[in-house]
Amino acid sequence: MNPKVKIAYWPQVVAFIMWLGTACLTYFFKNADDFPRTTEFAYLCFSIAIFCALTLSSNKVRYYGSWLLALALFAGGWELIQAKFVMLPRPFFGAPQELLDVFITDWYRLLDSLLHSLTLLLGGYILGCFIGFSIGIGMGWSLHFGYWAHPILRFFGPLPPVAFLPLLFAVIPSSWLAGELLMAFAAAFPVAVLTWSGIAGVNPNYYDVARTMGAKSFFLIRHVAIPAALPFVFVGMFMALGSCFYMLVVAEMLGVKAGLGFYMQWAQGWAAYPNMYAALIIMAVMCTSFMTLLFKVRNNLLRWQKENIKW
Amino acid sequence: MVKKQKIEINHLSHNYNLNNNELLVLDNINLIIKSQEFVIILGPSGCGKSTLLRMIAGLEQPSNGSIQVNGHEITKADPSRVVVFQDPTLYPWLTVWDNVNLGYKIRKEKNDQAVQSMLELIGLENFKSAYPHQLSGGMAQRVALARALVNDPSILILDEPLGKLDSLTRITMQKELVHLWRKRQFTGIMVTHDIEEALLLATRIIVMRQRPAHIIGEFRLNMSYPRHRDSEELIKIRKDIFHLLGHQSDW
Ligand SMILES: Nc1ncnc2c1ncn2[C@@H]1O[C@H](COP(=O)(O)OP(=O)(O)OP(=O)(O)O)[C@@H](O)[C@H]1O
Ligand SMILES: [Mg+2]
Repeated sequence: MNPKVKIAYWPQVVAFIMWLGTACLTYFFKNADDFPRTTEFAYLCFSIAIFCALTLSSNKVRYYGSWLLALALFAGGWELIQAKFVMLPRPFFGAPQELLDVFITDWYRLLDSLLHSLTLLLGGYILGCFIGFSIGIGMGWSLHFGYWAHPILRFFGPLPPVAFLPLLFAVIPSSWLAGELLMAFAAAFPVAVLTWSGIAGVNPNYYDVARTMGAKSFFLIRHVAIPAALPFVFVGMFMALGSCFYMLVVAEMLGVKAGLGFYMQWAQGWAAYPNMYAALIIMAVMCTSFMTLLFKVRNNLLRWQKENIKW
Repeated sequence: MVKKQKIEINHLSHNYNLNNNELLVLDNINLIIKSQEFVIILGPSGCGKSTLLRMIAGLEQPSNGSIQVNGHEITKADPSRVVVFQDPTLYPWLTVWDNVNLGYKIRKEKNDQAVQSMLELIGLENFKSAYPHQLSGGMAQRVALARALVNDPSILILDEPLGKLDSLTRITMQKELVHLWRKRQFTGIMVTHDIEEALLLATRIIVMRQRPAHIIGEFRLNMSYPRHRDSEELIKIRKDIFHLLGHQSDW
C-alpha cells in the first residue's frame, strides 16, 4: 500500500450502512421458517457495522472498505433470499444464521476435527519433505545413491498417492498411521525431484571457488549445494503442500475416522449441510494459513533473491 | 612478508574426452614461474588457457607431465592458490561481507579485522550487508577479488578477471590489481584476451598457439609501473605479439 495514495471513505461508510441494514433486516422481519440464532446473527451484523464505524479512520482497514461492503451485500442478500423467503432448495442451502448456529453449538467437534486434520497434515508433510529432501540431496550428490534411488523414484513417483490408499488402509492396522504415510508419500516425490534438479543445476564454479579455499564435501553440500538449490526445494515444497491438502481430504473421507474430511462425510450422511459449509470454511482457512506460513518461511530464507512474490 | 613460491611445469599435456573422442588441449607445456612474478597468458579462444589455470589451482589433474610448487606435486586445491574466475561467482545467498569471509568460514577461522580492511581496500565497506544482485558488475568483480585476496594467497590465479567490465572500470581495476600485487607480494598468474592489459600489468607475457596449447613466445617486461601505453618498448612488444598470433601490421 502506498501511503501517499488517498483511500476513499465512501465504501466503508456505505458498508457501515449496509451491515446496519442487514442487522435490522434480520432482527425485525419475520423468518419464513423456523431458523435458529436469528437474534445472534443480527447482533453479529450489528457488531460488524460498529467495527466499520470505529475503524473509519484507519487506512489499513479502509483499504478493504469495498470488501466490507461487498460482504455486507452478500450477507444481506443471503439473509433476504433464504431466511426471509426460502427461495433456494433446503436443506442444501441454509440460512446464514444456521451456519452461525453450527459454529456456536458444534464448535467443540469442529475444533477437534481441525486438530486431527492439523496433526495428520503437519506430520505427513514434514516427514515427506524431510524424506524427499534427503533423497534429492543423495541423488544430486552421490552417483551410487542415484543408481538405486533414481529407478525407484521414476517407477513409483508419478503414481498418484491415492492409489496406495486401499492397500495401506488394509495392511496397516492404524488408519491414522496409514494416512500419515500417504501424506508423506504425496509430499516426498515433488520435493525429491526438485531438490535433485536444484542440486544438479548448481553452477559448478560455486564448488570450485570453495574448493580452492580448502572446502571439503560436507561444506560443499551444506553451504554451497543446499543454499543454491533452495529456491527449487521451495517450489517442490509448495507442490507437496498442494498434494498433501488433497491427500488429507481423501484420506479422511475414505479411511481415517477423524478430521475435517471425516466431519464433512458425516455431515453429508446426516444431511447436515450447514455443518458441511462450516467445515469447508475452516478447511479453507487452514489451507490458506499453511500457504501463508510457507510463503513467510520462504521469503525469509530466500530474502537474497531479487524477485519475491507476495502471497 | 615474502612468500617464496616457485612453480615448475614440466612436459604438461592434457586430454579431454569430448563425445568419446580424445581432445588434446595442452601439448607439452614447460614453464617456470618464480616468486612474485606477474605472468600473463595470452592465446586464442578455446586453446586451453583456463584448463592450464585449473591445473595450477589443483582443481583438475593433468593427463601427463607434472606441476610442482616448491618441488611438491600439486594434487589438490589449496588455499595458498586462490582462483578468481571470469564471472565473479559470488554466492548470491550471502552478503558481501559473508562472501569475502568465505575462506575463513571454510577453515573455521575468524578474522573480522582482515575482512573489514579488505572491504575498505576495495572501497566497498558501505556495501558489506548488500547481496550480490544489488551490486554492479565492477563491484561484484571487486568483491570476488577481495574474497580471493583475504586468504592471503601466495599464488593468485586470475582467469580473465576483468573480461566483462566496461573499459573505464577495467582501467581502474587494472590499477587496483597492480597496486594489490605490489602491496601483497603474491605471485600472479593471469589469463586475458586483452593485449593492452597484458602489456600494462605483466612482468612476463606467455603467448600460446591455437589448441592444443603450446607456448610459442615469451616476453619479459622490466618497465616500472605505471606504464605508458605508447612507450617504445611496449609498442615493439605489442607488434611482436600481434605477429605471433597471426596478425600482420595491417591491423
Ligand atoms: N570439461 C571439459 N570436457 C571436455 N572438453 C573440455 C572441457 N573443458 C574444456 N574443454 C575443451 O578444452 C578446450 C580448451 O578449453 P579452455 O576453457 O581451457 O579454453 P580457453 O583457452 O580458456 O578459452 P577462452 O579463452 O575462450 O576462455 C576447449 O576446446 C574446450 O572445448
Ligand atoms: Mg577460459
